Amino acid sequence: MAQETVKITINGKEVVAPKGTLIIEAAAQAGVEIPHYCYHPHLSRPAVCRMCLVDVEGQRKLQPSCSTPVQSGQVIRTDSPKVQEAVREVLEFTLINHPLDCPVCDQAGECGLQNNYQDYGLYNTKFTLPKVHKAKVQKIGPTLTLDAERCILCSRCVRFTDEITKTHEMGIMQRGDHAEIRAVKEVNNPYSTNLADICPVGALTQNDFRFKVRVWYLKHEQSICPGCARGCNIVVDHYRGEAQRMRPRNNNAVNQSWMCDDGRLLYKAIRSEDRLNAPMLRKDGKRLAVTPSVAFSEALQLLEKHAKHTATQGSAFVSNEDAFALAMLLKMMQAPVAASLRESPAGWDDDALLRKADRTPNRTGASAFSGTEDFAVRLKNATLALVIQEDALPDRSLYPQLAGVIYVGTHDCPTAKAADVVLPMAMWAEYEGSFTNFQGRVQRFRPVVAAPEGVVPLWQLASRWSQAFGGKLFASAAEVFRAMATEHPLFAKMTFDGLGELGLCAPSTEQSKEAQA
Amino acid sequence: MEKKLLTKYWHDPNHKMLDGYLKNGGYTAIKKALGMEPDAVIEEAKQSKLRGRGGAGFPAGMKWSFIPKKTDKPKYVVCNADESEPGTFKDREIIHKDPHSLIEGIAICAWAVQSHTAFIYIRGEFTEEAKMLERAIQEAYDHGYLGKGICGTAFDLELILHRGAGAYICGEETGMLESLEGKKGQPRNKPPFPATEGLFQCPTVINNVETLAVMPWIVLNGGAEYAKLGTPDSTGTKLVGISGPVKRPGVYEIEMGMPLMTFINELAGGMIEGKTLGAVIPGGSSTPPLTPAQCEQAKISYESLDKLGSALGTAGIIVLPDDFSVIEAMTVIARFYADESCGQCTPCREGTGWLYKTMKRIYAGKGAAQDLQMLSHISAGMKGRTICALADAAAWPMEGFLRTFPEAFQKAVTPKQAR
Ligand SMILES: Cc1cc2nc3c(=O)[nH]c(=O)nc-3n(C[C@H](O)[C@H](O)[C@H](O)COP(=O)(O)O)c2cc1C
Ligand code: SF4
Ligand code: SF4
Ligand code: SF4
Ligand code: FES
Repeated sequence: MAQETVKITINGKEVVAPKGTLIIEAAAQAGVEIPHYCYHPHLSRPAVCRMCLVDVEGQRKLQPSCSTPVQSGQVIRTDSPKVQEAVREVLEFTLINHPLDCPVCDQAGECGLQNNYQDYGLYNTKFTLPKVHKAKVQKIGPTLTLDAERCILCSRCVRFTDEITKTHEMGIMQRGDHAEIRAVKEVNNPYSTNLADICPVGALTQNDFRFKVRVWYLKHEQSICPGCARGCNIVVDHYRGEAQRMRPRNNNAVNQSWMCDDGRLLYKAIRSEDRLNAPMLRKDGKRLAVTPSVAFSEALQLLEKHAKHTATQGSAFVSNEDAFALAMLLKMMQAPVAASLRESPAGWDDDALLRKADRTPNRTGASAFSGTEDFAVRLKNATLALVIQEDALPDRSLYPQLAGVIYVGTHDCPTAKAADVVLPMAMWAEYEGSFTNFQGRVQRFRPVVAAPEGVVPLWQLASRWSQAFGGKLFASAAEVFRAMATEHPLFAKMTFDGLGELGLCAPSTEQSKEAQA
Repeated sequence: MEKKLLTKYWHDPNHKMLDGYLKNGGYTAIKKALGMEPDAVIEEAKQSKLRGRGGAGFPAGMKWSFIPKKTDKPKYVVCNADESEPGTFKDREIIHKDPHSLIEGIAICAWAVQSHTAFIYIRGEFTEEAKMLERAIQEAYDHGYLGKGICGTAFDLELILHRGAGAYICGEETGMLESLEGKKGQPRNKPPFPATEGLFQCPTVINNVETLAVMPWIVLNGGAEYAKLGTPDSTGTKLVGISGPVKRPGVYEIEMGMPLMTFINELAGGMIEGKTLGAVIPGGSSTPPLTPAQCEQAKISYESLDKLGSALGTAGIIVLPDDFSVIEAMTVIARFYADESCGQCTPCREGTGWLYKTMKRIYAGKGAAQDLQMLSHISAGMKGRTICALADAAAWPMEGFLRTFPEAFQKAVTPKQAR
């Protein structure tokens, strides 16, 4: 069913918008930014900050564009002197009791207040009276710090905890200019850090990021959180080659504007102590660091020698391209397909918001290239074990017939310690690829930081080994994807670039059927 | 001089009891209404051209006609008895002297819009009045004027008294609805209007105590009869309260259109000995003041006071003597609104506080000339940009005082030695 649309005029330009769209949204779609604080697309619209007032022809008063739906024939101005004056004056009101402590405020550089007062040239305050003082630097939970003086009472945090997490920790106490934001109980819900994102000013800041880097030094890359089968769309902010924080990125079909607190800290694993940075060989019970080419050849010799007798454990933590390239390698080796994927590490149950009990990012994609037989069964008849990422063979003495174990992964573990050849591989933040989330949505992640020297993604290793067996050498993730799309219906008709910023669902998946209905 | 429709029996101490009320012809209007089509009752209300007495002056019959006829939702009637605008005390008098008129008026309204649940939201500080109403409501229940099948008909009506917690903003109709729902009293954005999405998202009529209490008379005598009184734009009678240094302060019912000075001099007995009229705030603290010269031209009607740059508001007249302190009076008013702003909207939350702090500084003798421009600037910035009219209600008197008493403000910000 085609959506009903209405025609309106914004600043003299004709705009067509779906019926029921809010003026602020229709304007944004037409490239007209309307300043706002309290409006948030995924929260209710109290229209309290009064920053978004616009002139609607025929209305005596300016209307809040965040809570006024478009109506056919509406003539709207956001650039008239009347509107500009209103915005400047509302902003002035917003600022009078604000401490303006930008030099010591961690929000500086990404502050809605700072950006606007610079745009409207309100550097010199006309306010010469004592400001209202409120509680500063309150640790309101394990993840957040609250400075009530900087709060502009937009109520976003209250609405988030009322409407999204339904945990009701935030509230505005008192009235008039003594109204003050408070945490009425400890804020320790699993999504608490989103409050720091939605707070338009420096009132709510994230403990993990406070005073780490001035935001104007940060560079940004779009990615996907690898923390669970949801695959929240995120931005990774990085500085001097290191990831500094993760933030949610809007994708209405997946995570709206949110992500969970645990997911947000996963960037720390990139530089964690147990990260495998260099290839190793095990000789006489000792591990020796070797060059990547030595490790590569050692592994290749084992693969060639045991080809058909190789038992492989794939992983739901690697990308679609990794899993596909691995499958191609096994095919060329005439080895059995990879064993069934291991269960997700335990941790949490599915919740009503985002988190999935399956804490792997790519079970849907990786299982397309794995078999159904258990790795333990496979190992009984194998002489070589190839283990990807999983701690699947911590005790190789159970399989005395095994002549070799190759481990390819990102972090050290008992399986890696017992392996004959250890090849580190790149992590999600270090290469480009795609994950398929629990909905069947294929989403792209992009390289944020460089992998440790000589460390490459699994698909590259697999493809290079595969070349030795007469297989195809892939030059890029896009090329792997192209081959994969012709091989498997999960990726039918998709291209790597076509995944865009929000990903795609294969025609066969539920979500895509719903979208078409 | 007085024109007593509503107040006709107020001299009778028994009128506030059911017995007395019945003896004086009480509860005949609801019986008459119940014999009419609900729409015919709305039509009478429309014909009366009665404008809501809560301050905004919206035609009551029209408001009732906005209530959807075909709806699956319950409909509600809410009587606004939050009377908190400084200078206003007319609703309190009705509750004291004539609670059954109010109950009967509520029943008429409920029948007209076919609602079976009504509320009276009463100001928190009205503890005595709440008891009075409670007793009157109980009497009405006991004698079949409320409850199941009122007046022997099949029409059910529950009436619930709800006490506020002492917030002026809960007099704003949507702040009141939030409060009734058990939430913080913060006005809602409109639209949607209460007529379609009011209490618990259901169609709701909200009327002031006086608006409802006069309904029995309108039903008994006909809307057209009511409309013959007063002026074309301000029909009927009005309860006018007067306070300040006059000989007989109090509440009087008059026909709309009476000259303001006639009211002050004849009904209220004029200024007390030794006091001269300095200014009049005609309709509660949010209405701009009138000079003695303006008072001479003023009539007690919506249109006359509008024309003079003020408003009828709640018709709570505050008389100020000529030796009153302009700065002190304005500081008190500014303080009230700063205190009562619910704090949601930026211009109101910050503006009311800014006005008050500036006034306080001027009052303390520490004001500067640029403070006066600032007061105008702040007031202008507050008007027409907020969810409810409290911001306007705070800005209007500020602008009115600056306009009416420029010399007093100038003097207040001039350093003493320069005067
Ligand atoms: C700040 C504010 C306070 C108000 N306080 C009262 C009040 O105490 N009593 C009242 O009847 N109306 C009050 N009103 C007006 C109500 O919002 C509403 O218009 C009125 O109750 C409707 O009844 P009416 O049409 O019978 O006048 C107030 C309005 C505002 C903006
Ligand atoms: S703390 Fe931030 S999000 Fe919460 S009300 Fe204040 S400004 Fe808004
Ligand atoms: S819900 Fe899952 S994908 Fe989303 S942020 Fe949390 S761990 Fe990451
Ligand atoms: S105008 Fe003032 S009182 Fe009314 S809703 Fe806004 S902040 Fe509250
Ligand atoms: S964004 Fe519209 S009022 Fe706040």
